[in-house]
Amino acid sequence: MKKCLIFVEDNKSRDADDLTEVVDQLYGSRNGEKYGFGNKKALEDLDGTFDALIHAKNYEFDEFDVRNITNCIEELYHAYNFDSIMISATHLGRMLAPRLAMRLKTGLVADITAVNSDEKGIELIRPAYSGKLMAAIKIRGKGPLMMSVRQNVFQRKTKRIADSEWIEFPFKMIEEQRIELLSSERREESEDIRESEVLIAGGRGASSYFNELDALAEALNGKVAASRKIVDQQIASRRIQVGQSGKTVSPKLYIAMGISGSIQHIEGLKNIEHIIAVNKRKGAPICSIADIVVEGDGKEFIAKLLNRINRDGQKEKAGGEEE
Amino acid sequence: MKIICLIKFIPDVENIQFDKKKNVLMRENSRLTVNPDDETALAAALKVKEKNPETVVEILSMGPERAIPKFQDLLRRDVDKGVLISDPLYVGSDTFVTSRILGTCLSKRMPDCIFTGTHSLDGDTSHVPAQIAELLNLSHINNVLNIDIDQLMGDKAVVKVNSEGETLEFRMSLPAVISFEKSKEYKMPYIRYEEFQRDVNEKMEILTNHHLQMKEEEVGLQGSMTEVEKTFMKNVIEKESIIVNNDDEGIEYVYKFLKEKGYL
Amino acid sequence: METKDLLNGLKEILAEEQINTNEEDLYDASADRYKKYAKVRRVLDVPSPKAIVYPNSPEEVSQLLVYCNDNQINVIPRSGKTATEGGLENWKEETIVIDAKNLNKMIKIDEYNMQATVQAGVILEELEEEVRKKGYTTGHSPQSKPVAKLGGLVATRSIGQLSTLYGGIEDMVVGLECVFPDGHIARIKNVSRRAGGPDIRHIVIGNEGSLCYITEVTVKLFKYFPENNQFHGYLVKDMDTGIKVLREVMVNGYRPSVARCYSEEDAKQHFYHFHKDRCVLIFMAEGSKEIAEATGKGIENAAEKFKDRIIEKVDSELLEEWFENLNWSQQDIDDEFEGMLENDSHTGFTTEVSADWETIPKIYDNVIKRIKEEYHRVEDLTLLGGHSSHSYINGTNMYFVYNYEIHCAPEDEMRVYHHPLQRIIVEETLKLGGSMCHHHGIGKFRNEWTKEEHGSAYYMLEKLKEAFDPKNIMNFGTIYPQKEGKKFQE
Repeated sequence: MKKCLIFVEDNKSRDADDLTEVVDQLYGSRNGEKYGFGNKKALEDLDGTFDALIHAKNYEFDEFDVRNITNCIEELYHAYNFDSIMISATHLGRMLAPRLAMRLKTGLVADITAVNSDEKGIELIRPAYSGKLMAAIKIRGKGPLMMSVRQNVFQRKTKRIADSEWIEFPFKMIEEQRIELLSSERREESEDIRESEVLIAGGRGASSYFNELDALAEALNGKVAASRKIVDQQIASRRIQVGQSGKTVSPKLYIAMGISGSIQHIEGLKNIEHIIAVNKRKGAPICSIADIVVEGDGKEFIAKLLNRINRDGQKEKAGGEEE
Repeated sequence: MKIICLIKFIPDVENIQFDKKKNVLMRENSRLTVNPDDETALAAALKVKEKNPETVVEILSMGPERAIPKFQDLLRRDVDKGVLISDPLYVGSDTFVTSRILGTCLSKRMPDCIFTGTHSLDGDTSHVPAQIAELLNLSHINNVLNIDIDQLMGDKAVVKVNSEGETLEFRMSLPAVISFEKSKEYKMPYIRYEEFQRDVNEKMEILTNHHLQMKEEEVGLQGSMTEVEKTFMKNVIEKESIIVNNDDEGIEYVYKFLKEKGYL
Repeated sequence: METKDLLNGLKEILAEEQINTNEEDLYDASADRYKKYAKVRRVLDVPSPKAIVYPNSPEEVSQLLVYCNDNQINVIPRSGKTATEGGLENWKEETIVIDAKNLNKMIKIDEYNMQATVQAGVILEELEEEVRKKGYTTGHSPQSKPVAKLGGLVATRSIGQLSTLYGGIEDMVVGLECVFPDGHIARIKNVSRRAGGPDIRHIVIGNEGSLCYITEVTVKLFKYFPENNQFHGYLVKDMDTGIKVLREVMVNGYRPSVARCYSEEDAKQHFYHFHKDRCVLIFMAEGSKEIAEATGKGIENAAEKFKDRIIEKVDSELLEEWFENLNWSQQDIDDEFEGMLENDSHTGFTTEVSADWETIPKIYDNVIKRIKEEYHRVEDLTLLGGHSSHSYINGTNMYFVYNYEIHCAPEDEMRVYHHPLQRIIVEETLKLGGSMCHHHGIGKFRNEWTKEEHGSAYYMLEKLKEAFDPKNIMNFGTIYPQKEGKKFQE
């Protein structure tokens, strides 16, 4: 039986819940004992998923107080001798995990997206080189297996268990905080198209229906961008111009509507994961670099696609809560 | 006030050459650049120096000898001193070992503040700054957007941090490790043409294990806690475009694609 | 001379609205597209002229030149503003720009005699559109067509994309009118050909504003048969093959209007959607039905001869679309301006040379090799390549293109990037007996090599300057090297 500690961050119990799947993949669903550590209120949602839930007696740590969280987990490690420790790769997680690994003098693999576990041993898979390369990492040394896990990649598959054991731990190593939160502000959603993961870009072919791009952008949680030809016609502002003389963008998804794909435009596209080109001419240069080419009228495409998306949304609403 | 900036030289991530037959990265001749986050950190330190001219700004790096020209390029920009740790013994070190090597060096010349980048474009683990902070028993914070130069006193620093959709402002006790994320606010100044070849050898110190005295079994692959078993390219197949029409079938295909890839 | 005196002198010749002293316009007039990046970033190192003037007639031009000649005022002749080699750059404190804006009349379109006469300030595209209405073309199609004007096009010995059929401007000019620094207005009449002593038109065509001011031009007209246009394209093994095919077409007497061969990297810029990392060879056959067909056949025959080094044929439709989008417009220029403000980059530079068939491939290889080995910022280059785009029976040109990321202060950009690259290209070209300037002119930034370019014949150029512009007031620094100007060339 392997003992696994999962750190539970405030307001992120869903992530911790997902990490139980990593435990199952590593050791099998019956061989991994799942311990969760966090502040009491963060643990409440996890009752029934974890074998044990640990929080501090008479103490709540601040989210950014990495040093004290590290101190606590070190104490827990000495008390329980965990085989592995998992932390979600959030802003906090990425500061906590390496610190803890150095404290425990053990190896740490960051931001894993997959695991391989067989007779030969355990391999943790993670992206490198700005996502262009995948690396499979092995752990050396005798310490606990430590990893930070990318969010939204794993999902709990096992059923809930009966009851979690609640443990109030009397931590002794808590010290004075050396970092103080002065203020916090929600960041305004940036206007900058470079910060969007999804871009719907209109070119000359989209001049007549450029305004319809907004609806599609909204449905996909993205932003609207424009080629030079659109900006020249003053249909859109230069701020959203993509290209060599405009902005260079690297969204995950780029939908090019009515764009022929001059080299000046293409120079503005870097490292895009998926390109969909919608064009009346499938021979337009941009189609040669697209994953999907939709040959036809862009305005029609938007209407039909939105229709299809909405149909699905309605079905979900009608279907009610899933198990 | 003395600020030491940690600088990492990374290979050209944009144009990586991957040997598909041998399944290895062709590192040897790829050109080196300064990791963008680290460059921001150094630019921030230089901005502090611009406002408070008594500030001493040093750079510390661990890298191969072929990084020296780029290292000297940084020294030409009003940086007071630079230390480059270079020893064949350290080749193959993972982040754990790297942190220990840098930490050992830093402990012998503790500054008031350590500026670093948050993540590197090649490894992207963000391990080293946090682990150095741990070794030196310092506070640490990632994704710093801005440091308040007016409020930068001998024992405290105020920073603004990008944390998942929020901007948080912290006051930290110094010394501390402050890790910047790449931003337009801090830009490295240009070296003018006349300065391109200026001799900066007297500002540069090269350290080997002879100086740091680490045990052989503690460094390189031997001392590492993790090991790269293998690497592979994500998109190995040359993709061909799928062409569809604007009909039900085509729209369905697009819809499924979007759903599958998580855009809906 | 004091500025106000200079301006007062101008006011005696022209009306107030013909004199422009607006500061922004003067700043803009101090340099041309050569220093585009420094201009946008406001770090130009050259003085602004004192005024831009717009004469209404050749007589006014004459009066202006006399005034400037008497008072040692530098004159920059200007029309379309599309100069790319420093030809319009100002190197003197006391300078005026004489702009042909008001000399914009289309004087006569003579269909029967196939000639069109226009003033120097007429935009080429406007002339072209006018004659197209009647079924003709000037045959002159430089990329700057929508913006460039006839005065500058003749002064720079310009060439267009269809030159392999129609020739360069020197083949198109019939007669012209120009004004010299001493005020003399010379009119060369329109005849089909003559032997009346040496051909004096060639003192004017290509003088780059260093000898006289052009006020009027007559060019030939050709019949226009766009419906017969044929595109032929091939992916070829290497530049050497491409050039050999070009030669084969030319020596057999065919005159395609477009005949180009792009190196792999250069091809990527234009044809990324089909070039498959190869060199791209492109032809266009133009003319009457029979001629176009025959030319097409000639091209196919040439390709056949080298078929083992030709990878595949390219779809003509793709070429047609590319060709249609080739020209600049004022919007392209404005957009480029904005782009340079926003980003640390621009669309790159070119240096283009010419030589005979045997020599051009050697020059190409030597240049590429030397740049890769010697150039200290080779890692900043994002593109290095070239294309041949103007062919003759006895040779062709080579257009070297290079784009780079600008990792230096804007003031240093030229020194760090373009100048060292240009130097390598010019040196390698002159070494093998080629010409360092096929059609861009010498401007101000290749004048250190003017003597080497002309060798013992430089004597003739020099004497022309002595004869026509003894006081050196015409476009100081252009073509003829000047010690005083060296500081601006760094």
